[in-house]
Amino acid sequence: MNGAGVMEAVGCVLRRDLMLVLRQRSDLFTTLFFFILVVSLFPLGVGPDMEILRVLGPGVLWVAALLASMLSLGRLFASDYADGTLEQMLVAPQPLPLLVAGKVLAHWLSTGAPLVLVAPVLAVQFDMPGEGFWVLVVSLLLGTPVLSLLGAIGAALTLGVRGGGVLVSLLVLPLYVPVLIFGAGAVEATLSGLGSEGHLSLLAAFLVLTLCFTPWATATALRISLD
Amino acid sequence: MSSNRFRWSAYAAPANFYSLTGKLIPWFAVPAALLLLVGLYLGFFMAPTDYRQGEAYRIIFIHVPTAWMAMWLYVCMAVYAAVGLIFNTRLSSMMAAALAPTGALFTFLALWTGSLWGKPMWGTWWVWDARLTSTLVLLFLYIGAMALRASIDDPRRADRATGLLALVGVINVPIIYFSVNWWNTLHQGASLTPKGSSMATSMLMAMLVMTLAFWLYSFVPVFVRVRCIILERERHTDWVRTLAGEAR
Amino acid sequence: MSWSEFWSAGGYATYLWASYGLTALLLAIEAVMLVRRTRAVHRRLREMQAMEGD
Repeated sequence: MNGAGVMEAVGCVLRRDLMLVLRQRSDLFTTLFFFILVVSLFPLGVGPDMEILRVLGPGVLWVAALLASMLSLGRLFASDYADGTLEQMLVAPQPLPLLVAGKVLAHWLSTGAPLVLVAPVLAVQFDMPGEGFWVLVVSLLLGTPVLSLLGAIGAALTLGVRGGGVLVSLLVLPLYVPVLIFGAGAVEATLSGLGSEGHLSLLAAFLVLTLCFTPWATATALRISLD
Repeated sequence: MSSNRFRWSAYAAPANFYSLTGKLIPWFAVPAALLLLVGLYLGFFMAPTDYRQGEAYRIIFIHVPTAWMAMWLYVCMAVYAAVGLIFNTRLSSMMAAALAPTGALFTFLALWTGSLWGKPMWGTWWVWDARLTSTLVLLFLYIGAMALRASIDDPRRADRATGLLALVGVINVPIIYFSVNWWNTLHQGASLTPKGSSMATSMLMAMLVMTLAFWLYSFVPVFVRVRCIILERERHTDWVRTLAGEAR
Repeated sequence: MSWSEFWSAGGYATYLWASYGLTALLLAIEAVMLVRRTRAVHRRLREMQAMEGD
């Protein structure tokens, strides 16, 4: 029996994960609502002064996106680990890093992409001026996949381990820091008139680098966890 | 069948490494103590009072050594982790495990003494410059490695998982340093260069002596810890049983 | 300089001695914990020996 072609296998993984998410939409909504909730709580905590909120806006939106992404990591491999699908992927003839990439893409589509769409709406709460919206969307569009890719390493290392979400957060937070700095920084730079090309280019560079290297690291982590 | 040539590879065996480290500990502890005394004497009685920072600058005789050791121990940990992952040697992973707590401690001390130096000097306990932020991230990396190891029951899986994490961290720290530097230069300011004045020779000497003292000292807790780890993990082997039988 | 001048460190006494003090304290705690761990390991090994020896 000839193994399915690599791209077909990746497509298969992608379709399956997306179907699972669509069937059990709670995962999708959990992340989204968490994001909305965290962002909306900040003005209540900080006070209604629009001057302050305008300054805080980009940072708050980005931190909330980061936290939402972090919280969703537990679900990346958990169900496949539980029902044995993950072990099947490990012994499949297709390269594991590519299968992992497929899973991460599905994860991002169901957790990161909705944030990108909703963020501009929430930015209104922080009185974000017009030019900020576009940069916010682009920065999140570039940055949230990086968060998913980096987070996958943490999720893979902690498969089936007690301590769960907190442990993953601890492991993954140092990796997230540069993304946060440049993501929020891009929006802040635009709002202060400095231009965000530098930040966005770096985010794009992060995306390319993580696309190239993290699937391999995640695959290694999966093998470590499952052998 | 054994040749007369000395083979370093013999020390990859836990049993041999155990006895080697046992013999080496005094050779590091005593010079460390001596150098510490020399360093403190140089730092407090020979180095002059800084005309700008007064007596408070003497914190650097602890702050700088702990900061360097924090980074150095992480590099060592990452190297042992890499060797353990590539060659599948147990002892390398045990050394990585032994290095983490001491490294974390030095990182914490570096941050703490840095804060205590920053407050009287620049009026603030903390500042988000590249160096401090990277050191804080380094602390999280150490703690993350220790937490991960503690939460995985299977020792071999723990070894490999922590090893991979350590390697990912090694790549991360320079990236963070670069990111924060960029971030700071864009925000114009906030990055510190404590070396405002050039250092008097005596200050430099004291600092170097203290750094050397800390480096020598670091071998001691790491060796003691790795010996514990070896005994714990190898407790079912013959040589450990013999050792336990002989003891008291 | 006199000893009292030495200890007061030009007004920076708190910062200076807190730094050195904390360092000494934490290193001492690390040492104590390691001693205890060593003893615990050896005790456990002896117990194992005793159980198997019968």
